[in-house]
Amino acid sequence: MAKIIYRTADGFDHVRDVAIDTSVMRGAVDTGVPGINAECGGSAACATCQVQLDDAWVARVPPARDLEDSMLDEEDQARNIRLSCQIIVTPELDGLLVHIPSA
Amino acid sequence: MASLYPELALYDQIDTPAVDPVHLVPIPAHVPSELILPFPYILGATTKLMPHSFIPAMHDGPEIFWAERAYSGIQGAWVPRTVDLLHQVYNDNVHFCARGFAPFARMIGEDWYLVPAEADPPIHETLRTMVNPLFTPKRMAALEDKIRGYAREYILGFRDRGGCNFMADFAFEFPIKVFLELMGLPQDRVAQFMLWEHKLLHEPDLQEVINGTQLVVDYLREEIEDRRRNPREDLISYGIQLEKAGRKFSEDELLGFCFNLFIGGLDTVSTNMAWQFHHLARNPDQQSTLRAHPEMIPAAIDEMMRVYASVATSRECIRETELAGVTIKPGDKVLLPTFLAGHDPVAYPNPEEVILDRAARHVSFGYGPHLCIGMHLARREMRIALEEFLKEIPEFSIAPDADITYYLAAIVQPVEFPLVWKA
Repeated sequence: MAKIIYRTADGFDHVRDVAIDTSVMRGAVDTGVPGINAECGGSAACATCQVQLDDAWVARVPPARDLEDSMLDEEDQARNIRLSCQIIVTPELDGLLVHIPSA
Repeated sequence: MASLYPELALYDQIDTPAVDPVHLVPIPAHVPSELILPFPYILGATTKLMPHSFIPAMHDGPEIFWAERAYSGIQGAWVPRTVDLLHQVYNDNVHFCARGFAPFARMIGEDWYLVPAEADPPIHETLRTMVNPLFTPKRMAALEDKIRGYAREYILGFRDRGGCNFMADFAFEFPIKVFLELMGLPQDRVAQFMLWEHKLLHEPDLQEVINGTQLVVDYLREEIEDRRRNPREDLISYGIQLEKAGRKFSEDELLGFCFNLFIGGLDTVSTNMAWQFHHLARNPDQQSTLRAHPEMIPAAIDEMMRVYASVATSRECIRETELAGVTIKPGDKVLLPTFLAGHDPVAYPNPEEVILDRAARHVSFGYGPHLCIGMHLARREMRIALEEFLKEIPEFSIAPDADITYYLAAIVQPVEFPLVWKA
């Protein structure tokens, strides 16, 4: 397990223990964190599981693959917006803070 | 079978086109006879009943069954009926391929395929990566004013008449306008496109479907050739220049891409709009709720997309596997009927009921790597259509003398219905 902190636009921290090798999206959807819809179920095909990486974590999260990047525009990429279904939970990400943008 | 399907008597009220038995693909030997069940959604079939009224009884039956003629009207297919099973098949590209679910190229003796809808790994991800940037939420948001302008054009055109034929006067043409805009094709082609689209998707006569496909393909090839010489700011030009991982679209992929946009973005939007207006016309309370609270429209649209889901794509088995304990063998077709899954009683309590703020996930846009690429555009078109209609038009209903026929497949759709209001 790794601790993932999902901070919603109202400033509330939803703290979840998420299984290693699952995704940051899965940890949110399975435990009812609001604002992450993940309509495609984790295939980087819908862009409805967006999170913004906290500045402190940008360098520690592996970069997006081409498929994920293709769903985000340059402005999103500059703001470190990611598709949470493409961020695989590893022990190194214990404590990861992501911000859930308001719809 | 009669006890399993109490609604079986209703099947007398379906008009299914006859097929010469020599054209029917025989039922594979491994299909257990007790799993061969009736299925109304056969290509070209029509009925005067509400097409979704056949569904509840199916949910008393097995989780997956075999339906004769469920694929292209001539071949049987497995029909899974639950959200879980559809999720499983959508996500399984080891045992199932998407290639071959649309018959258009084969019908005219060619072998291109829909890009990216019919692409499989490993090429699917590359193709989808190439196409995704065209349909991001932000890019679609930039079309808001244009789309609203088109919607208003139609609505203001019939507002003072006190009624309209919803399909002919609005639902068919409106998404074509948006499509032509996106593709960079001239707007005076709307009538032409409508005719072609109809031939392709709603003609019971196979020869007409073939003719329609050929007309669209010839036209798209001409336009592609033109954009090679005169590139513009449009999707065809973009497709020509597109390059990813050192590769460009081949000639066939470019055609498959343009054809995919044509086939994917027109009738599906028209149909979902039709069901939303059909429902609200028959449910004046919900209509007035949305008129008073337009902010509820997006959630309401998704709920109506669930209850009135209309699309079934399919997969073909490429490696033997099991679904809900049933053996599926290579070559078997598996239908993905979103209209059955939308009424799955395990996933949705009281599945037949439209609860405007239910906010339930649905599979009406599909699921997994092939999830509808035009989802963000489609939602925008449907929302704007409903917003503008409710703003401009007072309480509307279906004309009392209306005699409505519904298509059961390839898409579940009212052929036409007249709306009336006090002008």
